[in-house]
Amino acid sequence: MPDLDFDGLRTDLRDAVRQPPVDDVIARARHRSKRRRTQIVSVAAVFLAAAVVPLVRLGVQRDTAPPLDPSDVNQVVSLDFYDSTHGYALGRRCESVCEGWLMASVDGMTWERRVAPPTDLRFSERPDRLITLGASRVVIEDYSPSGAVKRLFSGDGARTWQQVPAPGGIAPVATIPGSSVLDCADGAVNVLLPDTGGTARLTHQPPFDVTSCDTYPDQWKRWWVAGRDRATGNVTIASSKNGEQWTLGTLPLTAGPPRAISIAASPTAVYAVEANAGETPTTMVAIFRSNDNGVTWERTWPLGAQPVVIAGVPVAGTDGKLRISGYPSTSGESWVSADGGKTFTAEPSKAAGEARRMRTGYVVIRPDGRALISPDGVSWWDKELPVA
Amino acid sequence: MSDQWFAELYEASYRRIVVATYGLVGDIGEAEELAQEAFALAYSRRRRVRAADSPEAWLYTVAINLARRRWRRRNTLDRLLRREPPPPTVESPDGWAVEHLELHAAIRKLTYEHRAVVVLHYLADMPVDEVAVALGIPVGTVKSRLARARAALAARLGVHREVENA
Repeated sequence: MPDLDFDGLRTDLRDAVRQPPVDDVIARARHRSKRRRTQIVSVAAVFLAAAVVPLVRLGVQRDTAPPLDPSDVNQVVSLDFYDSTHGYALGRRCESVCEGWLMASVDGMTWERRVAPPTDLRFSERPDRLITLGASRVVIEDYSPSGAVKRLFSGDGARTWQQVPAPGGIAPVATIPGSSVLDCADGAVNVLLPDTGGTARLTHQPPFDVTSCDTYPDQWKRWWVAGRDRATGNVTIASSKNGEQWTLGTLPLTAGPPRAISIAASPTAVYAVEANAGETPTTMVAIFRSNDNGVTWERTWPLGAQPVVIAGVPVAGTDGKLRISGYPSTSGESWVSADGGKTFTAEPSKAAGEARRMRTGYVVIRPDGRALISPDGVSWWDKELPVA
Repeated sequence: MSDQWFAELYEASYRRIVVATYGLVGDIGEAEELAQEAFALAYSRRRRVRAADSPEAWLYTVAINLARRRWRRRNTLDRLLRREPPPPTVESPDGWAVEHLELHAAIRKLTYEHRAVVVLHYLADMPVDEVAVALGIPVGTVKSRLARARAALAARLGVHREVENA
């Protein structure tokens, strides 16, 4: 094993550091304080205007939350649409401290502020996740730095929230409700119940240890999960229309550590993308393709020089192409395969970035606060949030 | 509150803070900028910082939080990565031994999670439990990431040398 001389490198690095005079830092601190005071005054003025004008006009006060200012400190954390019109966005605004915000859309175009529940706004490895379970039913999974997760549920369009009790005590369900999502844990398929946000175990489990679940069904309402066969150790993919019966297929995969499997379904094929588990961005290991709805699988990648470190999930377009964003996304390009995931070419794409699955397709959240949404993995529309 | 205390803290801790922050952003210049911002914050709140058990730990935490925030804002990170020259070139390589240049380049190629634990533990001298607290992850995770990162570094450097010797 090569000698890893960390001590020597540490010395070199410290010698390479340029240390400005302490007076420069003190001047910076004073400038920062002055700028901060100006910002506070500005925000207070905007808040005052936003609060007073509606009162003067309407004579009632409907929302005491401070308005959102256009700012580069706003971040969209998670966004989901239940259908083409009802969507919710969870975000945070950070200056010296962070505060969460939540917005809703009932027409797919305009957004209004709703109540953000109290969440842990500290850095966590997994970002908080917002999931729609209906037009007015929303769940937020709030991750803390320790990895613990707290689930919050709203049944009235994100106007009031309640914490969902820890799993347990809920009777198993025989079928997967159409508006629910899958939530795998402890080797089993669980279902997020739309009426309460609680978790119920699915009665008819696939016959293997489940390690990956696609949260949402594909466009053809099929639910996909993956895991390892207990007897053979083979990586197995299963799909089901309602959770009562599962169609099984085995990946031609060599043994290795447990990895994450993402499924992307197009009208002509289904892809299974294997990547290292627990990394963001993650290293792609293999791509498999099935032409018979997941019964048999063929390994199509790796071949040649192609994307390795990827951001987000693969996008299978209705045009039959498979699109993957590499990381870092520096050039506004996505990797596109037109031959079933065998070879990729870099193509310009306004949706280059970390794609995520949504109930109604895919979403790419850009750092400027804009969200690009695609129902088909081919065409992308801007959903401008009034926070950017 | 005397500025002398702050000047002494700055003199003693600045370089260590920069090296620790470098582990998260992968760029010395950006790490210097973040460290200076952390010290500016510390000066603004110097009464509170001086009362802390460890002012340097307070600075570590602030600098790491600033770096994380930038890391989460991918556009900033992408911009940084775009303007970085390809490894193993570094900003001030004059006088660096070849093995240090190679090790530095290999660390920069690690994933964020692995690079963070390697730099905080091996280059910033933080004990494993402090790394765990700083990054908000379990001690066991820190240890496993260190092991995997060391293996990745060794493999990467070993391959490189075999190619050189071929």
